[in-house]
Amino acid sequence: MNLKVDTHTITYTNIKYSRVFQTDMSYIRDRLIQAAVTLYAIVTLGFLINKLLPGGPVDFLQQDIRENPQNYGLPQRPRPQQVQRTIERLVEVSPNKPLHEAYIDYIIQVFFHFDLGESIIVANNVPVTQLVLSRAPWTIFISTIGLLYGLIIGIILGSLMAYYEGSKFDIGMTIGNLVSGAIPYYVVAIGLLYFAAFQWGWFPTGGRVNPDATPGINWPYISSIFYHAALPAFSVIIPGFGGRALGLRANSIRLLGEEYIRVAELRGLSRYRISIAYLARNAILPMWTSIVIGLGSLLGGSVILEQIFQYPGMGMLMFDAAISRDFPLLMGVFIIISFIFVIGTLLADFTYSLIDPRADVKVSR
Amino acid sequence: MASDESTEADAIGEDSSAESTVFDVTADYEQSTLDYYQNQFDIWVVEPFKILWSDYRGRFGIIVVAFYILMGTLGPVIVPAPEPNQAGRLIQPFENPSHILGTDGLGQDLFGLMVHATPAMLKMILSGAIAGSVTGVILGIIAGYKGGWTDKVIMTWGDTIASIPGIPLLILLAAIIEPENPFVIGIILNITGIAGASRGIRAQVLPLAEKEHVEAARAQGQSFSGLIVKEFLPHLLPLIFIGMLGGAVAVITASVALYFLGILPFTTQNWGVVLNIAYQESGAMYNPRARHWLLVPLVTLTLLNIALTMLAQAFDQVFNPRVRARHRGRKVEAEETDEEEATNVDSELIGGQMQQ
Repeated sequence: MNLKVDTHTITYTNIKYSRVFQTDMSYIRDRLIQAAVTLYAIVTLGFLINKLLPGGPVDFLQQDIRENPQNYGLPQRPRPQQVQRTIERLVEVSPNKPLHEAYIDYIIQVFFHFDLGESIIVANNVPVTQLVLSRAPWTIFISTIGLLYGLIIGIILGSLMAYYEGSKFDIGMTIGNLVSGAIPYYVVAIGLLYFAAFQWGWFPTGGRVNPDATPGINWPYISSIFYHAALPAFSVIIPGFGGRALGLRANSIRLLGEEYIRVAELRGLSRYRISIAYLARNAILPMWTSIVIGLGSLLGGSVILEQIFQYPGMGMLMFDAAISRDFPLLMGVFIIISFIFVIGTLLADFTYSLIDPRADVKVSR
Repeated sequence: MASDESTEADAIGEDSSAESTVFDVTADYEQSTLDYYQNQFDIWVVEPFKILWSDYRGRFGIIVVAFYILMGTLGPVIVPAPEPNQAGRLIQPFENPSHILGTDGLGQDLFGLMVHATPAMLKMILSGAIAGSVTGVILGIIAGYKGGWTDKVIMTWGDTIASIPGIPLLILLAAIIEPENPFVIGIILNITGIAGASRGIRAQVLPLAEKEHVEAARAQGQSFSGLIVKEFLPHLLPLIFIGMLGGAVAVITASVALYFLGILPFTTQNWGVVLNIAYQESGAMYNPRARHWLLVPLVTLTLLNIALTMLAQAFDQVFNPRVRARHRGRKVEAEETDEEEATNVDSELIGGQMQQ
């Protein structure tokens, strides 16, 4: 019995300790270092694919330049130095330098000059960074509204289902959500496009704004942005909320049986306090990591969605680059999508440590 | 069995007469190897199957998945391989008994196309789900249990892998190396699944490693591998199974998508290839007579996804003793009078959460 009291005191002080020190700089610093390592690893992977993969961008360019030098503004029989300089300008990797020198050059170019080379086919000689960043806001826009509304609908439905657990509503919604969660988003997208755009004409069949509206802060332009984003966003929301609702339902039902909820009731805490501080927090907690991963798959999935809806964002740029074998652009979109995702993860993790006090009691064994 | 029981009873009688303590009593009949395996088979195969079968989602999942497995194994032997102009173009479904799902714009039997794409799909699912969860589980347990620097290094790696959105990575690799082997495609498609699995497993192991019984096992000198097998794996099994089913769904979804976009080489039959030809090249969106050409691959894909998801849900029921115990408790409570009060507390709690 004594022993048990001891362990409790220890855990208690531990929690107290972590509560006091965890929100300070050390956690944020650790997480920033982690993000930096991740970014570095992604760029390194980019370099390795560029330089080492047989048939990779450098290989491809070397062959392509030798075959069609005029496409690259070179004379009929370019000298090796000219070929080398062109490749260096296009992918920031020099083909003839030793591995470590080429690697250092590449890292410096990417991290300090934000230079990812130039597109060769999709938009001739336009810097990749400029090309991608002009498209990025559109993709982030549809992904975020999709994620956000999917989350809100999921939480509301999930709590309703847990509230009416075992009723016909619960069973009906469970089946409905299971089905909606299992349907791939592009199936929903094709379905929506088929009915709401082609058959009934409620929404546009492609594009991201009304070409007749004048760009700027005016109602026709802004409303046409939302009008064009509606179908892509719906195709993210509809398959998304089912899984989240089910997750929240399962979590809340499981938590209701927990002893600490019972203890909180016995302590006479108000029901409002129990439901907010004890139940909701812990029920939403396991969903948080799935949000992070969801964001990644949304950014990745944008390639498919934007192609279906002909929505010119980052994803469509990547698709065009892949189909036309525009390797510098393909690598660039790949690296920038990964970068955006890392930053998103970072934000989600900071908020995670805010809602979960246990998040990092770090014990080493 | 009957004879075993009688010898058991005899043995107990002998023991008590010989004034021995309880601690001296050993099993009175030897468990043969066959008995052991029969027992294990009951615990790991028969029981879960029965529980799954009793759940409507589990039953649906088992039947549908079994049908797809048959389609992928026996199907190509029974159903003739589809070829262009084997029948009239765009025959509607359920009109011609020899082409039950109709034919596409090239006169190929759609059912044959679906069946002959299944074996490669099963290979992708198998390799992707197994590779993803095995790696994820190993990394997750080590990270969650060891903590400290090991945890940091593994999680940084996991984050790095998870930070590479799977579809763009596959598009990149597909454009460069053009993978054709279904096993390789499956593994690449579930790379992000590794990170997800290891994060989930780590989150489960973290509190588990603090529990008293694990602490006790460690104090008694239980080795790390022993701890994994005896203390961690039984608790993690549900998560692993469900993770595998989730991985399968991810692989199916992504592979059909990439074939649909036309990024993976068309050397392998796939439901996405059919979809690509219908959607991108033949304008099935505009032609009402070609609607089934889009619908058949979409339904084939969605049905398998739904079945796997339902199976995962049913597995949750099988393994979650809390859910079962709670429901069992509810049934008992319902017979008593304080049932009303208990449910009231429950519902108000969640009601409060809704307001939040």
